[in-house]
Amino acid sequence: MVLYGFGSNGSGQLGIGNTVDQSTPQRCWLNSELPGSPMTIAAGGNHTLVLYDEGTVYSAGSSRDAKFHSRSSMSSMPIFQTTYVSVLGNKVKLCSALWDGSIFVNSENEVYTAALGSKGEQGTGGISASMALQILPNFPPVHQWSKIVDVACGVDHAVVVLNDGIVYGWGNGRKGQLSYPEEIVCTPRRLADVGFRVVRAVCGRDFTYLVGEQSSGQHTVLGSSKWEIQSQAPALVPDWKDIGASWGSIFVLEGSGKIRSWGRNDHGQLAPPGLPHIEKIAVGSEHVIALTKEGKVISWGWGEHGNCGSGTDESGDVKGKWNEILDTNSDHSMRVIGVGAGCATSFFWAEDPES
Amino acid sequence: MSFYDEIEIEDMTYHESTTLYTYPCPCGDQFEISLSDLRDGEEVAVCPSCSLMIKVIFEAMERRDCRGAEMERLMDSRA
Repeated sequence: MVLYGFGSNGSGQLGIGNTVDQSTPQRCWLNSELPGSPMTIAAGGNHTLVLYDEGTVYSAGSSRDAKFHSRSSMSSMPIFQTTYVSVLGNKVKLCSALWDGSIFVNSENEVYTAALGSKGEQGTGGISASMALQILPNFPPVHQWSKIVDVACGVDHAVVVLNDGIVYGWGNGRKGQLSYPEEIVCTPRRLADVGFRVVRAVCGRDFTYLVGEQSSGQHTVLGSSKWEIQSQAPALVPDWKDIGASWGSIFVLEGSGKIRSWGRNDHGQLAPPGLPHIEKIAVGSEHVIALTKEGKVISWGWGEHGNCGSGTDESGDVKGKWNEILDTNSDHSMRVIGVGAGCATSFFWAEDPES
Repeated sequence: MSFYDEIEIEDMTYHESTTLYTYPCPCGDQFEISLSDLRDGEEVAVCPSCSLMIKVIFEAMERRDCRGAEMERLMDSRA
């Protein structure tokens, strides 16, 4: 499987071997070979995490305020490297990224955080001046025999969904994104019952979006009401297949291949009219990259750093339309499997044309 | 002038070493404005890496975080 990235790259967050922004897909490089296939990409402000199906996490880029993690002395090449592998091993099943931090859940349902920030991002009760990896103590609460089914982060808050539908969160809750009271939450707090069993979560910058079972389509938005993120939400989102959130918008991919989206649209973030059948989506800070049923990779939204491909308007936007990044029908050797996105970064992975 | 967003000062992060207030920009860099510019009445924080900028909003202060307050000095200076 080959990973490709494009967009903002000043901190090497594309992992392509340089620190230059890119508007066409470039091959990403990993420090070890053939680790299987990516499952998920998560990204903070200046770093990217790739979780591979074998349970190993690779990271590229760095924290702006401090070294993201200690690297071996010779290895300053901006490529993807296994991260915290001595602690995490190859047992990671979920990961997510804060602006300046990362959260990992392993197969034993232990939660590890490594985060900077003064808003409780670490989840361990204080502030951290280093990116040291810490386990969240006494979490999930042992009496619940809980398994963790999802983890999601905004810029400075995090939520974890348990298999009984209960949600915990920590970090910046000043806008209500961690339910009530609206405050900084320094250790995991159980969010107030939302009236249905939550199965997945995604986070915007100042809000949390929770959905229930596909069959019911129940959902709710906690937190900021900016950009009508709450008032424009439909009553239900039945038949949802995947969900995503930019910093100010929410995206629901339906089983039919349609995208339902609402919230901020000043840079063309919302799904443009006339989209073809969509198989997969990944939502970045203010843009979307999608894989169509026909095998095309497309993108729209705020693309000032090349993250929506070349061809933006004078404001750097791809607005009311989409850019075609890759047409696998004209390149039969490449079959795209998945897509990922971060802060003005875009990724997709494809079967190795040489294998 | 069109702003990416309007952000309350208490949602920004103050960096003692650089005397800058910062706030995350969706490009991965940060909007920044110096304490002295704020004291001079400036209210636009710019991102060094892209075209976006934010307007800094001063509302009634209520400072709650895990660290403590650095806000009073600034508010005193603008009062």
